[in-house]
Amino acid sequence: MIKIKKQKENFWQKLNIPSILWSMILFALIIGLYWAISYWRHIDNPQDKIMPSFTQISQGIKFSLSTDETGQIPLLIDTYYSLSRLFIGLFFSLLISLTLGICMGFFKVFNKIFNKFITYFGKIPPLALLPILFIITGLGESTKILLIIIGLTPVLTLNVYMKIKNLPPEHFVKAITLGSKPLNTIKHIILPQILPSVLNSLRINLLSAWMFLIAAESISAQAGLGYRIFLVRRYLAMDIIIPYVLWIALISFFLDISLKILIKNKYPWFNPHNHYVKENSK
Amino acid sequence: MLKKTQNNFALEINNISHYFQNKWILRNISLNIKTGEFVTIVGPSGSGKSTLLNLILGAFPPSKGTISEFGENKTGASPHCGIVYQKYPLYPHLTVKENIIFGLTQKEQLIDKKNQDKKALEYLSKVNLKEAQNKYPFELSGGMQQRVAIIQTIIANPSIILFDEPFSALDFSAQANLQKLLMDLYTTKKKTIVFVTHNVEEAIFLGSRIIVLGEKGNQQGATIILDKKIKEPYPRKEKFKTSAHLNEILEKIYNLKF
Repeated sequence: MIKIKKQKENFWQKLNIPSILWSMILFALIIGLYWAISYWRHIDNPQDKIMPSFTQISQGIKFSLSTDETGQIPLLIDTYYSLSRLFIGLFFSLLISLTLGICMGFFKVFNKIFNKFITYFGKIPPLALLPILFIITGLGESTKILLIIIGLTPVLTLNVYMKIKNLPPEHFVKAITLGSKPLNTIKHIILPQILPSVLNSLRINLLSAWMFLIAAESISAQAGLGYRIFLVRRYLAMDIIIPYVLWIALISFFLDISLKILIKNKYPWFNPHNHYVKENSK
Repeated sequence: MLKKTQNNFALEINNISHYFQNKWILRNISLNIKTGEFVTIVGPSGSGKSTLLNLILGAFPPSKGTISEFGENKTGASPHCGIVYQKYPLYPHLTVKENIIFGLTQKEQLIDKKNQDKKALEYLSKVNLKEAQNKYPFELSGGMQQRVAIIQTIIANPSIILFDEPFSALDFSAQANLQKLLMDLYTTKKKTIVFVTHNVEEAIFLGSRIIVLGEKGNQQGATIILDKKIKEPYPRKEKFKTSAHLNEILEKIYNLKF
């Protein structure tokens, strides 16, 4: 009889720490490291602004959450403006990408006209276009939203197009044999099949959207999270900048998780790892 | 509205040839299929069975020749001609019931939501899948998926139904169950069926007529090398599979020189 030798577990395998705990440990380490450096800096200089103590940060948070001279709470009003711009930008990026991507996937002439153009346009770093956008469209809201749209639309459009191209042609032919009209096929067969994958792509590109938004707000705005960070930077107000950055990270994390949950619950058949469908389980 | 042709042909395939990736796949195929016939097409791998089926379906046009459906020249896929595929038989984002209702509602022939559900469940009961109505295709076995796919196609009420090796990836018992289901449906609905398979026994067991594709001599591209009627009444019993009649046809096919 052949004896199967049991593999010896090494120290890390025995320890078996779950991934989430590792993340928490690493975050705790960073916070601990920050606290230690900040503590030493404050022994030398109790007025140090570069690495504020936790007490200073909590005062910064209190300040951000208290009403200013106009009667508004800065953190809330900045969040409201930033999220409004972000959501409008994401909505239009998604709308344009779906419309254009579906047209490119369905009609050869659209693909011929737009494919190469979008591929090359997508190579231009959107932030390089920011000064041009400010000159052309002015310093208003539209520029900030437009930058998100310009940044995300090429990526999302090509994603929609590729997803349609990857759908089995059998699905289209079968829809015709079942009597489905082209618009119905798009509505009931194509759109629902590509939507989770496109939402997943949107989720991955959220970080870029934030980057474009903060860059645009830093140059010209009256309110917004990016605007505030770059405004108080002039006074080295790290006690406000750090909570704002953490707040942006928290919103980002929340949006990411929400989209993940939405995709998982609304599209249980979708497997984000192979970007198509779950394999037959039997 | 479908025309009734004088000669009662559901499909007329007139001398078609198909050229793909620098070679002839099919050469000079002529075939007339009567309304209500159950035609099975067999042939070795790469003999162009599925290509022929896709040409009949209208998924793409033949390089030469024409195909007529109920007397009208075929220019693309149409609702008169349904298909059951081996691969991707169902829409993955729809549940079993939704897949069936999609087939039911597209022709604007029917009906309010309550009746859609009722009819879908009635058909699902016939194939013992009522309990699986809210499941997604990825939760079903291959055999269950094929049963739903057959129902999805039949419920849309096409005049011709094409099958592209629908049972070839299934185990023996699932194959036998589906053959029985198909036989029952053919006996009751009397649709025109074109069934492609690489399983010769299955082709003889199911079909009222068997077509064998293969290459003749040095000619590139497959053509019809046998076209034979199978005179066995429907519904056919399991014992037909072991009968002398079936074995005789089987031997004839195996003796053909491809």
